[in-house]
Amino acid sequence: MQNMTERAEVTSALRINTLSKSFGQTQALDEVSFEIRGGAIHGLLGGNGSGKSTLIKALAGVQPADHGGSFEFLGTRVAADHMTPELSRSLGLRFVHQNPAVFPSMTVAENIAIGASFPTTAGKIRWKALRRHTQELLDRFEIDARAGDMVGDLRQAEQTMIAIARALQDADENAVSALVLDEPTASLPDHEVEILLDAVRRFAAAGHTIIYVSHRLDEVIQLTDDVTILRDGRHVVTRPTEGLSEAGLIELIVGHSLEKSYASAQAATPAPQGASRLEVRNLSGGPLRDVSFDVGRGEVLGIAGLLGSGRTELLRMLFGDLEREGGTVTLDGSAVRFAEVREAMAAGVALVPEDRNREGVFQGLSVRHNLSIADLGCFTRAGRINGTRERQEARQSIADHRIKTADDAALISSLSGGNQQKVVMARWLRRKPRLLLLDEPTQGVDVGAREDLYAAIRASLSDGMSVIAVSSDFDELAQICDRVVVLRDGCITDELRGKDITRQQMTHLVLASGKDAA
Amino acid sequence: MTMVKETKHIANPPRGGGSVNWTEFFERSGLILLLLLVITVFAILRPNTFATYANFRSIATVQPVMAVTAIALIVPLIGGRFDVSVGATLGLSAIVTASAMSHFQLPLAAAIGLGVLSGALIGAVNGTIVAYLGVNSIIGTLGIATILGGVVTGYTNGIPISSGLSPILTDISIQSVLGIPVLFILMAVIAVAVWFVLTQTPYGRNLAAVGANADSARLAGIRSKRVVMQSFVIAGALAGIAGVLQIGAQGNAGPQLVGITFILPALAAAFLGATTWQPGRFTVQGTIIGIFFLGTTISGLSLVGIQPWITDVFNGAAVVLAIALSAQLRRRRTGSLDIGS
Repeated sequence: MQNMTERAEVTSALRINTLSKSFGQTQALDEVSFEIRGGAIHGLLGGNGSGKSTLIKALAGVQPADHGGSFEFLGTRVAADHMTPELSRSLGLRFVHQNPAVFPSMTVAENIAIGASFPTTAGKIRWKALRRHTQELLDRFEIDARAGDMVGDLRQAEQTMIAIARALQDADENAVSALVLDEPTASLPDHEVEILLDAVRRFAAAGHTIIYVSHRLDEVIQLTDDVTILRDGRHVVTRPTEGLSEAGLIELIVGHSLEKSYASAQAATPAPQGASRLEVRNLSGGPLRDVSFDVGRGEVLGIAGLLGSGRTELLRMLFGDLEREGGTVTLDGSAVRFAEVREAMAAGVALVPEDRNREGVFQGLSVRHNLSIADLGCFTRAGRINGTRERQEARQSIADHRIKTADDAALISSLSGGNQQKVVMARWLRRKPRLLLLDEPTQGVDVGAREDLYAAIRASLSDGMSVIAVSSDFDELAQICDRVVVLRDGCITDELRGKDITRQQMTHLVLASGKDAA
Repeated sequence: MTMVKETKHIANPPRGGGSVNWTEFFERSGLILLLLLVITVFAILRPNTFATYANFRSIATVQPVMAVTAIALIVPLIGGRFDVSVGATLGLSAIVTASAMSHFQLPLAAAIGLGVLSGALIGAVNGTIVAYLGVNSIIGTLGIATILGGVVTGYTNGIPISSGLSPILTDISIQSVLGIPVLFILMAVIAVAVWFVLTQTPYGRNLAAVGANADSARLAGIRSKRVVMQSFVIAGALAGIAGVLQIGAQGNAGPQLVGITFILPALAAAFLGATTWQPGRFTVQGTIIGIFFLGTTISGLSLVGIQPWITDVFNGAAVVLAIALSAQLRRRRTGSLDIGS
């Protein structure tokens, strides 16, 4: 036990001093300073691009900040540009991310031991000791599981709690200065959120300092003692949570108060221009509940939603890659239900997936083969691919989309991320789709390539193609969309048009839970 | 404002045209150079026995069966799967073909048809197990290979079938056209056919796509399971053809061919082939060069009087080295080391 005078000296568990980080022209963090009280639950809030993730990466040492900033942990000062993952750990920082790295096919005890070390005697694991240690941890954190349970059999909230217990297991030696929880509830089902929040409260009551990153404002108000808000890489405020309403938080996050001028989408509204290309009615399945909307010909519809809102699942369902449980989808007047991707493709639907590396490109193949994989039929006569025509088309695509590559035979792995994305985009635009689904189309893409991608989309719009775009980058949605619908917890809650499509509005709407709306 | 993510680092920086890239040249033609080196060395060491028409003719007669076996292997390998049962399939198809002629007095064409069909059927079973039941391909096909070995032994009692075979087939090893052994010509025809399927048809392209990234393939509308299934059927049919050719090369159908060591040279050749021509990729051309590199080296070694056990050591080492080398090349291309599931 520490005595009172010591406590008074060391009230801040962590102090962040003039932390900056720039990526080329972009200033992700700009001289951010604030402090976090020991033993408190400290909310860290901000819209997309506010610098939250950059700050956490800097704390974890995975992406050191610029020279000049520093951290102070319980009195130990560290230059921000010298931070490393090892140092971060030895200073007592622990991180649990939204998809905790647990091993579902191993027991709770094994998962706990992997975080620290297996107790051994002469190389043999002392299972009894490990089980006892695990059970102590589970009891201490009141986790409803046993050491021998398979982690995969537990509920998601408990899996996250196991990850937290694993991170905190050496806390007895006062080694943990702060636990950072990065959107721990983003992918949890609603009814499990409360279980996790209770657990977080217990961790705090046990004396741990917790930095809680979340987009769910109702949670933040319920749970946290203090909040820090970042906006555009700058520190806005650090203050006690008490007295803050959801509207007040949104105002701080967005920068100014917003009048509720937007049209609340009671029901699906007809597309503004021309005949509608796509009509989605009461679509359900996965996280989605009763989703209805229209997309017009030549229209770009944006979907603004947070991680876990169902935005990716929505696109997958329209592309035949996920099964829907209910509802109807009408494409150009005829009802469609795609059992697999190729049916959606045949009907003129295309999808540029979120994770380019995992689901978009074929790393071992050439640029040319990556381009033509979805429209090989166009070059095939009597079962044989016409190599000359395929090459011509590839060169055409490379020129049209300004893909920077040595030639069409170069491996796609030799291209930069932005140029790989252009290849994926070109692959689908070559099919002249009626409906193009874009999932984070410019993630990890540099500014120049981004403009090229937008230009390619615009060119196809004039041919009557319709687009549904999902993006975490709300500036991007504001730039490319004719209309934006807001997806929250699997439901469409709002719709924005024209001048209302701004980053601030979207941030406001995706954050507002509606619970304290007048 | 937006977080600029670190883009994936360029594995192979785009090369400017013009200057000759020697690293790339040696990488692409290393195996051919090595083959030429081996031929030169043994020709100098044994000018009277190695560097003769008779010896080269013998290599060109003996190796085609192994070459077709190796070509059978690379089809599922391109899709990221191993078929270790091709040796056993070859053995079974040879027995089916020989038995059809010897025990059932069927004409040659029908017997060959049955042999190839039996191979394709085994391939369909393998494909179902791997693609639809999700069994690891090495384990699944190893199980099938073991079953086939048992069936063959049970059917033949371990005795080769050598009587009642069509002489057209059994004499094929001594036939040649313009001095080129017929077996070699047949191998070339099969090689061209498989090369065509793998590189000139949508099927071959889809198979390569599934092998490169199954998730991307699914989202490009490729039916991955069916494609993998078909690759095993092709491998089985090719192994069946190799079984028929084996009767021709050996003059009988022996039950002793079904063991896994039989396919080690084929496996080594497939991976050696993936270090050459288009490094990191399995190709028919590379595989054939690999087979002839191994066959020539072993022929040369035996002519300089090396103990027979060296052959096993050489083949085993070749497999390990070839796989290690091609895995490194693959990592350079794709950043991933693992092959197959």
